[in-house]
Amino acid sequence: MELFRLTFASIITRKTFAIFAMLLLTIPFVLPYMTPWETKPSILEPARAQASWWMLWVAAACWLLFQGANIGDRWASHGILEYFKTLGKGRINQMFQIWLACFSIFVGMILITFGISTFTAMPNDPIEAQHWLVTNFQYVLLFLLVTAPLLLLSIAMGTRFRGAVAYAVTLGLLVHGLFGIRYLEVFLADNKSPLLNFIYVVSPHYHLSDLTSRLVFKLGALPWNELGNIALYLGGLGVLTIGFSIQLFKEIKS
Amino acid sequence: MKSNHSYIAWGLIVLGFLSAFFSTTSLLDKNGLNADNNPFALKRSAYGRLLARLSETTVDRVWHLGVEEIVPHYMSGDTHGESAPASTPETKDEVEKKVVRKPPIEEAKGWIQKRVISQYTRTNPYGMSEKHRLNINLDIADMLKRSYDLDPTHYGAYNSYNLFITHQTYGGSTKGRAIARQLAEETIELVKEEDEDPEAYITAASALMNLFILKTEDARNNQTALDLSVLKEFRDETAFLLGRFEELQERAEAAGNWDYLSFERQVEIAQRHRFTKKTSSQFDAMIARAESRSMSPSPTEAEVAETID
Repeated sequence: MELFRLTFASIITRKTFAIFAMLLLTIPFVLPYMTPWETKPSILEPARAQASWWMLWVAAACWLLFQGANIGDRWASHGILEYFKTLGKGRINQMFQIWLACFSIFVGMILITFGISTFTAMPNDPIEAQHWLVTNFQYVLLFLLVTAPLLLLSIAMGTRFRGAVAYAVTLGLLVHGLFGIRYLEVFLADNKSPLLNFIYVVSPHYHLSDLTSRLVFKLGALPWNELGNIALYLGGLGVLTIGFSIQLFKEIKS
Repeated sequence: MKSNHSYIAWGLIVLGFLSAFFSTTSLLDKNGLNADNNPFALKRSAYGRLLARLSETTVDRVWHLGVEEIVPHYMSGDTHGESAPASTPETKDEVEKKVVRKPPIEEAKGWIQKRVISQYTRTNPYGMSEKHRLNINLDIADMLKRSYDLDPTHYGAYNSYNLFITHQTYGGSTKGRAIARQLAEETIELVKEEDEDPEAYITAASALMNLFILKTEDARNNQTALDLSVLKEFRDETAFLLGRFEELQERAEAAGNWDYLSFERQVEIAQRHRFTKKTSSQFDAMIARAESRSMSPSPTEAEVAETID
């Protein structure tokens, strides 16, 4: 696992993860007090959970994908991947080691978010508390199904193109999946264009992983059959992304 | 090795495609793919309430620049109706009193403010064309709707949106009145679910008054009298909403939460409460007048309910 250790050490040395970790630890406790909570103090706890998850999405968009693209670009450009190839490390092995190095640090951020959202904002009622805990678990699961494959894609694209291009594309996919589709729906309300409908269907509907409303408005946990459906969809997208990433990955940057 | 990777990659692509395809079909059947209109639960959350309050300045700026075509008051420091002072001769003492030397920081801030005012001062000798004005009105209506969606219980957000659609974008049209009616009804229903924030009930009372005004205008247009029962219904409902405000305010004071509000906010809430209460107190007078009219002769005369001044 030399490539894993090299990548991990490189990320730790750069220390940018620490900035996001600090933000993840502080923003959820500071931001809620900037809202007009005085006339409604009960909004503080949902606001804390909401800020916590927002920050995690920001960390995924601004740190995780960037790291993957940047490291993929650097390792391919400096011949690191080619070197490991000569040592007999296959493409999938190399991808997995780089991915694991980035994601193992990001798991720490996910744990911070899960901890803050679940335990510092849990409702008092036992039934609501149970739903709260389950909803957070469900959110983590769906979040992983979106971000883990996208990280692999950013790494793979980084090895083939420039890091900036790889980051822009994967970030663009994430933003489109979370927000862009909503605008597409507005167009589709008045427009029956087959092309727009096709784009809508084939677009990655990452917004399905956004369970923030279920936490903030205490809607309860997602029914298990619905979760299964969404997980199957996002999982399918994830597997598709992994397949494309393997094809895109390139040990030697020409 | 290369072909192994390709097989694995294509196998994953096919598997992923099939999985996503079948689950998409299932999700499409139940409209499960539709994105809700509230990404990351911003609207109606604590942060939505914050943005609704903060957007007051933006709306204020666009309103004054776009509709009234003047520099916003919070920039110029002027208020409505302020005119230039009459040019009468002044004594030297009076002039010197006016020219008060400010600290350097205040002078610097004043200089920056003057640049901001000049940035927004209209120098175009022609006013806006009707089409341009209509366009701006629609943009402002969108901004106000967004602000309302962020926090439907916010007094300023609701009332400014209601005022705008009834008087600007759609004038007094049937469409504007229908939207205003729906807006008021939805706001009241939403506020009734509120069990903590007293200020929301002032918004609801304000919405109820707007509904009453619409009903009164309908009665005037149809040349019919407003039923006594309708007047009583509105009176009782307003009393309930204002009662809830007072109840929740007392609860907040007892819990010590009311003290967290700044003095300015407490004054603002008190002023809005006083205004709404004073406006709604007219119901009793109107009911008394309607009852006395119903007891007087001439039942054939068509009477139109008086509007609240």
